Amino acid sequence: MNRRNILAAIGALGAGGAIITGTGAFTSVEANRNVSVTVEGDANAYLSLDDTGNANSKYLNTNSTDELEIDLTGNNSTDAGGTGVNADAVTVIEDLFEVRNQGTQEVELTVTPLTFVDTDGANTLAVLAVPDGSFPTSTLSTGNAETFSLVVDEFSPTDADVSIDSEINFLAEATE
Amino acid sequence: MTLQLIDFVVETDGVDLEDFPPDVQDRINDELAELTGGDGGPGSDPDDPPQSIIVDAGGDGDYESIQTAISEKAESGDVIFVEPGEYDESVTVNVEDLTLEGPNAGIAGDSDERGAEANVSGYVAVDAEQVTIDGFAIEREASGSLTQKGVIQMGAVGDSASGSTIANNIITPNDTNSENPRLGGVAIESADNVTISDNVISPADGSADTIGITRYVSNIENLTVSSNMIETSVAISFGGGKRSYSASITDNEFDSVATGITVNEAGSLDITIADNVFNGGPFYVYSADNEATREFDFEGEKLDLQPILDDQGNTFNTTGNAVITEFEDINSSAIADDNAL
Repeated sequence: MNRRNILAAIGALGAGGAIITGTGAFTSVEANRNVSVTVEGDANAYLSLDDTGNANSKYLNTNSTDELEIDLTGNNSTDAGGTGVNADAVTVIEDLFEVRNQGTQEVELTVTPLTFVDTDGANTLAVLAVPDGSFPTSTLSTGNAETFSLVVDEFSPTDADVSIDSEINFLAEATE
Repeated sequence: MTLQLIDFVVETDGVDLEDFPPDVQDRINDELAELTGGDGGPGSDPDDPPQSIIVDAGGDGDYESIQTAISEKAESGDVIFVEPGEYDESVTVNVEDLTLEGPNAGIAGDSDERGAEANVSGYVAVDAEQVTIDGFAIEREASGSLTQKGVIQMGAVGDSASGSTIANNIITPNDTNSENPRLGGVAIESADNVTISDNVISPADGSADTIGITRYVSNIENLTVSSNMIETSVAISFGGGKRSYSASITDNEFDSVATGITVNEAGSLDITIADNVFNGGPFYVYSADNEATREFDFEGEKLDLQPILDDQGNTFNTTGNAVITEFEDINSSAIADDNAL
């Protein structure tokens, strides 16, 4: 049984600009000038994905390419030895991560999906990404951030195998 | 901003509120209320919250019997999850808006993805409105009782089953001893707005004639029959009398040894038969006059076969040609395989 595994990789701004899409969201440059693009880790990218500096940051990982991951599995045990959420319980992790606009224009942030669910008969594992500000999208002026909490509900009245291993996508598009 | 689970569900493709058992909905809404302010969300009335009830014949649930769970625990809005196993019982559902969810809920009756079944040996009588029966294997043996109509019985006189859904079940009428001529897979007595979808209705090996979906003596309005595989002697039979019938019969596959669909002359008929596949035969769709049934003597509406043959996307897998043949002595007609006549 693997019902306690939850791994939601927060997509990074990788070399191809994957996951975070929306051309022209921050800068559009035309010819006759040199263009230099530096790919940064999530924390320093134009759309910053980072922890909020609280103790819940332990539930986040930064992988080898500086992409942020939510990891509530045994691969990310706490200092006290915790390795996952409780069975038959709802776990709330407040202010887990933030998405900050570090670009040059106001953007509208769309996060998809906001809901993850795996079922096996009556057994259910559900994860909700809950924004602290506006819903379902957030408008972020330069320098501003949206903070997200996580609600994780595990319901297992019978023996079953439910798990979530997925990705959450962040789309930021300039409002003008 | 007070968010509820439904707010998240509508923003997420491929996720339905039904994916979350009532208990889960309730406690997620409670947490969302704390996080985002305000009270709980849908289904979270603290005085009478919907429940998830687990039935497991092996003893690991709240109950070992489906009927006991209904009788002792279930209330409107609840979901009864039934685990795989053998359930040698008949079940009467008399609680409005109750969902019985078997282990193969959401998986079509003919799907290779079905897992272990909850096998119900007996009938299921739906005597309440807005009931859902989803994901079971149900077999009823004919007993010879004159009141016996179907493996699943939708409604009874005075007990409407309107708005109910029968989906993703394997339904087996069993009359191997020829005790109950034309036992039905689903028999509708008193129910409008019923949906019957994605089921397999197939007789037990060696059974006498059975009917997939049939009616008894009531009007039937807004019946939806879609995406079923029906292999009984007659797949669907209804109409008759001065009653009123409206139905949409689409995307089904009929493999019947006698007749696919029989519609008797009735006071009012509004029937769409489209995009179905008819195998077997020799008769695929039969439009019967009152003279054929000798049930009533009046002029009502009869099913128009021509558009069903030519214009509504039905497929007739004949050995010859699909034609309309007339039975002049009884003023009836049928779409038939001319090579088998």
